[in-house]
Amino acid sequence: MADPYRNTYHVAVIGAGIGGLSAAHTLAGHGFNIVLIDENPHMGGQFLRRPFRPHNSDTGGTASGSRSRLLDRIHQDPMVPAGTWLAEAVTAPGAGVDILHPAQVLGIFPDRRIWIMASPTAGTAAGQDARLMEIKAEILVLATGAREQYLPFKGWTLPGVMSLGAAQILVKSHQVLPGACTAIAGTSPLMMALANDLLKHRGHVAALADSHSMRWKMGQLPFFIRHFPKLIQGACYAARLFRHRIPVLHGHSVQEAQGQERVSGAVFARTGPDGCLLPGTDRFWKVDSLAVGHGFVPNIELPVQAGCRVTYDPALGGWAAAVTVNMETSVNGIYAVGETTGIGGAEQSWIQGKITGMSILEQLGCIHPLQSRWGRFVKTRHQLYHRADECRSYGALLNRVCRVPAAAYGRIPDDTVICRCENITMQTIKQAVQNGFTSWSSIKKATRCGMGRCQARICGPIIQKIIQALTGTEPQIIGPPVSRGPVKNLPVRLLIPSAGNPENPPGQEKGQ
Amino acid sequence: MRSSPHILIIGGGVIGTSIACHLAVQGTQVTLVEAKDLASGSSGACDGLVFLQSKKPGVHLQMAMESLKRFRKLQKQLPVPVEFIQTGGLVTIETHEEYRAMKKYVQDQQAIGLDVQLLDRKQVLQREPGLSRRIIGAAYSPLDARVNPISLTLGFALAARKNHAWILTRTPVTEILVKNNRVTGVVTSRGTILADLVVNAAGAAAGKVSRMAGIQMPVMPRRGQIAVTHAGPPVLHHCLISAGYIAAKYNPDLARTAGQGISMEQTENGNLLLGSTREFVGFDTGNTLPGIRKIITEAAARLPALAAFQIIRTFAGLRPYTPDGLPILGPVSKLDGFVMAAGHEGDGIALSTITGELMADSLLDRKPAISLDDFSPERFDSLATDPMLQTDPETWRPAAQAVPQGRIR
Repeated sequence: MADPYRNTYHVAVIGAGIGGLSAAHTLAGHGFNIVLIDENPHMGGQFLRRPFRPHNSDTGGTASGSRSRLLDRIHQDPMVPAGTWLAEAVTAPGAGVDILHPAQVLGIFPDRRIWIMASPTAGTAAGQDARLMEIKAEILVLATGAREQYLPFKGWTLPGVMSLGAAQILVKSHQVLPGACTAIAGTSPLMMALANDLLKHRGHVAALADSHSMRWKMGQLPFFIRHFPKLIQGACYAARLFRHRIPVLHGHSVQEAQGQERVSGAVFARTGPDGCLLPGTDRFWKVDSLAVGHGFVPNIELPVQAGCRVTYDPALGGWAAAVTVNMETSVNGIYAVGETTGIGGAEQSWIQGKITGMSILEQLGCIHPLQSRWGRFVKTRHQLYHRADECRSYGALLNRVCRVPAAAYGRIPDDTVICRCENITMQTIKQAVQNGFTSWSSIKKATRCGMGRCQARICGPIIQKIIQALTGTEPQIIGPPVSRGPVKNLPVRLLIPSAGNPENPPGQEKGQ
Repeated sequence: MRSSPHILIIGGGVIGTSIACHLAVQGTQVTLVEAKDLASGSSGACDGLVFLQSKKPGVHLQMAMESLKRFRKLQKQLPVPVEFIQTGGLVTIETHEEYRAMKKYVQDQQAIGLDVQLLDRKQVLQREPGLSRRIIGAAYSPLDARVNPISLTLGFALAARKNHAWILTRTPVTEILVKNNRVTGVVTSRGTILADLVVNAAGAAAGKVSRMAGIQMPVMPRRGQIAVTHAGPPVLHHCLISAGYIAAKYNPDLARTAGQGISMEQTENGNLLLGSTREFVGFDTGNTLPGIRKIITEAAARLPALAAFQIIRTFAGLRPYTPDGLPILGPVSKLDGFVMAAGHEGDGIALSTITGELMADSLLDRKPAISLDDFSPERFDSLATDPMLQTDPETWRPAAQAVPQGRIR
C-alpha cells in the first residue's frame, strides 16, 4: 500500500480546530512540510460543526431546516465564515499541508515523536482498517482544544442526560434531535446557543435553567460592554427563546434526573448562595433528554505527556498549558494554541494560531533578523499580541460566568457515581479524602478513580473540585491529572503484525 | 539510648510501609517520611505478581516462601482489601533451549521443596486454554499468587497509622544528620526529625539517600514499562511469565537470545497488566514506543485473545537494581544507626511482608526468622572502587558484561 504520508515533518499541528487551522495557514506556502492531524472527519473542530454526511435515517426526531433566517443572519458569529474560509484555504490542493484525519494522536514521546492511530476512511480513527503511524516533527503545535466540565447530580449517568456539546454534535453533525423534549441546564452561555439550535431544527425545549440569578447576570453586563457583538448574539438567542415561549428559570440548577432506563423527568430547584439548592423550591419537568453544561476545561493530556509545564488559573478554565507571548510552551520546539492554553473562544484561537505561525517562521529562519525587528512583521505581531490580550480578557469573563461555586461540588449526594469508568461513588471519594488522600495521584491510588477507559478525562476535574470543596486544598497542591500514552484506547490488534498492517511497520522512512 | 528507640523510615513504598506497619503493631515509635505520595514510586507502577518460581533457589526462594505464608494471613490484619489470590503461576517455554534450562531450574526448586512441575503443551493448554499453541510447555506451581500492590502499600500504611505511626507524605529528606559517626536524625522540607535509627527504604532512590549519609550503596534505578488493558472478560486465569523473564533475571547469556521476557496477569477487575522491560536509563520514568510495542507484541504472541483488548494506559516504574539481584537488608556497619532496606528490584511486592517482619525484628534487636547475613550491606564492600559506585545513578549504564555473576550465595 502506498503511503501518502512522510515520516518526518518540519511542523506537525495536532488539532484542526480554528487554532490549528490558523497556525497551519500562516505556515503554509513557505516550503515546509506540514502535517495537520485531527480526530474528526471534518475540519474546524468543535467550532465548525457541520453535517457529517447526508443522513437518511429517520429514527427519533429528525432535525430539519431553519425557520427564521433573519435572526440567524444577525447573530451569526463572524468567526464562522472566517473559519470556513481557513479550512478551505488549508485543505486546498496547492496549500502544501498534508491532512491526516480522522486520526488520533495517542502519545508524544521523546524527540517529538508522535504516535498516531489513523483510519484511511471517514468515520472514527479506530475503525476496522485503522493502522498505527509514527511521525517525527521538528516542531509541534498542540491545538488540542477543550472538553466540557461536569457537575454530577443524582441521575447524571442516566441515558438521555448529556453535555451541551454532545447535544450540539447530535443536532449539527448528525442532524438528530437529542430527544422529543429537551431540558437545558447549567451555567454555560452555550445553553442559549443549544436552545437556538434545537428550535431551529424544530426540536422542543421544555425549559432552560440557568444557575445564575437574573441579578447576578445583570451585574456582569457592564463587563460585556467591551464585547458587544457577543451581547447582540445573546440578545438574538434570547429573542428566539422568547418567541417560542420557552420558560427560562433564572437561579435554578438541576437537582435530579429521574427515570428508570433513561431519563424521564428533570427536577430543578432554586439555587441559594454558595450554590446550594433551596429545599421546597423544586419543580418537575417531564422530559426525555437533559443537556447540561458548566463550561470547559482545556485538554492538556498531550502537553503533559510532552513534558510541558501546566498552570492552574480559574480564569483559564482550570489547568492549561503555560505559554510565552509567542505561544511556545516550556519545552523547546513545542507550541500550544487555542483552548489548550486557556478557554477563550474561537477568535482567541485564530489569533494565537497566527502568532504561533509567525513565531515558528521566525524560529525556522524564514523571517530575516532585520525584518523581525522592524517593519510590517513587527507591527502585525504587536497588533496580534494586543488582540490576543483582549481575547484573553473575554475568556476570563467567560470562565467566570461558567464557574460553579466550589461548595456545590462538596454537596454531591453520597450515592452519586463520580468516576463512571470504575464506578466510584461520592461516598468512596469522601472516605478517601477523610483518610488523608488529598492529592490527585494519591486519591487515584486509594479509590481507583480515573483508572478506567477514559483515564480521568471526565472525572479528573470533578474530583479535583470535590477535594477542593471538602478540604480547601489549593489545586496547585492537588496537582494536575497525569497523562500517559495512549491518550485514547488503543486496540491491541493494531500492534500485532499479522492482524495489523504488515506492509507498513511504523518507523520506516518513506521511499525506502 | 531509650529502651524503645524512635525509628525513622525514609520511603513510602511497599517496603517502607511494611516495615512501619510491622514496627507499629509492636508499639514502637515510628515515623515514615515520603518525598511524594505513598506508593508513588515503583510500588505504584508495577505488576502484582507474588511469584515463587522466579526466585533463585536458595535463600531468595526461602524468603519468598515465607513471605507467601504471611500473605495468606495478611488480609485479616490490613484495613483494606489487598486482592490476594493464589491463582497458580505458569512459566511459559517456547524453545527447546529454554526447556532444557527450565528443566534444571525446576529440579533445583523441587529439591528445596517448592511445589512445582513441568507441563507439556497439552497440559498447559488444559490449564490455560487461551494460550498460543506455539508454547511447547510450562513450569507450573499452584503457589504463585497475585496481589494489588497499591492496596497492599496503602493497607500497610493505614494499619501503621492506626497503630500510631506518624506518616508524613510530600516530605522530602534533604539531609541526614550524623554526629560522631552516628545518625541522629534527618532534615526534611518540614523541619528536622530526630531519630535513633534511620531506615533507608527509598527503593530506586536508595543509592541517592545513602549518599546523603556519605555511604555508597550499589542500588541503581532500572526502568520497567507496563501496559494496561481495559477491564475485559476473563482470558487469563493464572499469573504468567515467560521463561525469558527468569533468564533475563539470572542468566544474561540466555537473555541475549531469548529477549527480556514478559509477565502477564489479569486483575480482579479484569484489566490485563502486561510487563515489563528492564532498562538502565537513570531516573527517567517515561515510556518509549519500542518498549510498549515490544511488550504488547510479545504478550499477544503468547495470548492471542489479547487482540480483542484495548490498551488504556502505559506507565513505568524504577526497580531498585542491585548487582547480585538480592536486596540489601540490615545495619550499615560504617555508620551507626543507618539501616538499609532496599534493592528488591522486581521482588519488592512479593517479599514485602517477610522483609517488613525481618527488618522489624532486626531493628528491635531480636533474632529474625531468617538470617539477614546473605543480605548484609557489607557484601558490596569489595565494590568500593567499582565505577558503579563512583558514577551518578542518573548517568550510570552497565558495561556490556557488567552484571556480576557468582555472587549469589
